[in-house]
Amino acid sequence: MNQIKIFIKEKKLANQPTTSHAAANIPTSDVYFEFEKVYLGANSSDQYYLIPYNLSRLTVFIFIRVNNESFKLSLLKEIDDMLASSMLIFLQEIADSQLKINIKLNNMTNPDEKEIKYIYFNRLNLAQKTTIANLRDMPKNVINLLGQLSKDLRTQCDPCGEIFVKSGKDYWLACKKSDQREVYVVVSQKNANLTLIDEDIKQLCSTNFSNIFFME
Amino acid sequence: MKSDSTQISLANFFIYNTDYGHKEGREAEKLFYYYPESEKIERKVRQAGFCAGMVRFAETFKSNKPCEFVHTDKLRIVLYQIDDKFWMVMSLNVPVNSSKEPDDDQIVDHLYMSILNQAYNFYKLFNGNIGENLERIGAEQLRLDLKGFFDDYLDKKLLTTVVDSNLVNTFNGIQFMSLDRSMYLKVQCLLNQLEEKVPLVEKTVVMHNDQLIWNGLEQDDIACIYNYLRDLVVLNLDSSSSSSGNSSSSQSQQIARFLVDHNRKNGLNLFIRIC
Repeated sequence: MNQIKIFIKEKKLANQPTTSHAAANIPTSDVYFEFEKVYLGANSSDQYYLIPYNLSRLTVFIFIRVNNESFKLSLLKEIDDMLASSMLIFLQEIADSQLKINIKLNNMTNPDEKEIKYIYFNRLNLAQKTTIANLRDMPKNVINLLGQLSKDLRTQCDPCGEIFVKSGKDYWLACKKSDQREVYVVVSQKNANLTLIDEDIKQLCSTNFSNIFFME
Repeated sequence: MKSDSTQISLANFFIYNTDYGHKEGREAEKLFYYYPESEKIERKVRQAGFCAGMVRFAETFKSNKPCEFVHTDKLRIVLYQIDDKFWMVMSLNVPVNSSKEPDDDQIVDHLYMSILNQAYNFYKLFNGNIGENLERIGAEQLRLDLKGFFDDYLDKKLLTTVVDSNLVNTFNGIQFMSLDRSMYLKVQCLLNQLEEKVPLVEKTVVMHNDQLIWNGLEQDDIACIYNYLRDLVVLNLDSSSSSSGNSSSSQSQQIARFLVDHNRKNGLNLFIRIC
């Protein structure tokens, strides 16, 4: 009963976001639309409409309480008016800053024969960062070993510690835990030894996680 | 689903309530959902009874945690208490190694616990707390609802995640985007303006592709919803890139729209405006 169903005219607007868009309104077709409802809050007590507003790479998810009677079609228009122009500017700025970072990275990377990849987790704020694009590309035993290591870190290294493992001929795995933060490193290098790997890990942590405290 | 016995596969997945099915002959009432549906009812009841028994047995040791994992030669059972009386259980077939022996090491318990966690969080996101649902709609309706929801969830998600679970896809982590300070403040400023001018807007989350920029939700909520939001964005990115591929869309043309979840709503369209 309380489903809100909305009909919206599809609109085509002028190419420049800064100019008034009302002028180029060409209604083409009616589209039907219904929002998802989600439960949030402790004990899932509150219900919200989830309104995802997307512009290219940016998406703003807006949550509106379900029992609100005054939710009208015009609200979407308001949201659209408020966000569209600023989001276009943000997109441009983000793209620019990413370009700069990429150039910097390209200059930094030197052709190195060994391959070091890492996964970082922070269980406190759930942050996750990884340089392994797809874990499935790793050999199966390495994937499995990573799982086992996470179990060992959890049970044996409390609150902090590190574990080094050699798997097969070419793979070294190292993991480090410091309170709620965990980092797993996979090094693929022939003829390495523990001291070399240890140095690699130290270097990786100091370049990538310089602002994150790892207990030594 | 018959699969290669060297791989981990789902043996069963069920939800039971310890308050139900105490009377003789009506034991099956304790089951609220069971996969595979084709299994004989005696076996379903026996599985649920076994799990309830294990939990009761483990309680006698006065551990501060309930029984979570049961290891047998052929099965690995993961038990998750989702509500006061409700338990969600998943059993996995232990894979065999090249010499046909069960290879116990391949299954890392807590990865599978977090899969169950994800499953219930996903249910809760769209349906709310299961215990409250039981009070509100009654056992019969709840069984139907659970069937509708989990049949779909297993098919789309769980059956594949079980085979292919690893450290990264079970962590439930969030990828944050690193933005410089001024950019971050600008985003926050815009959101504040939005909440000011449109008072109905209560909370907001902002993402750039699949990375999180701003989170206005509680920590627990964002953990539940992030995966869903990410999939929503990624699916829509795919569909928009494939549909705009044929036209000579210049880069300057950008489309603002309200997204629709194609998985949950079939054949609906988007509100589109071109800036």
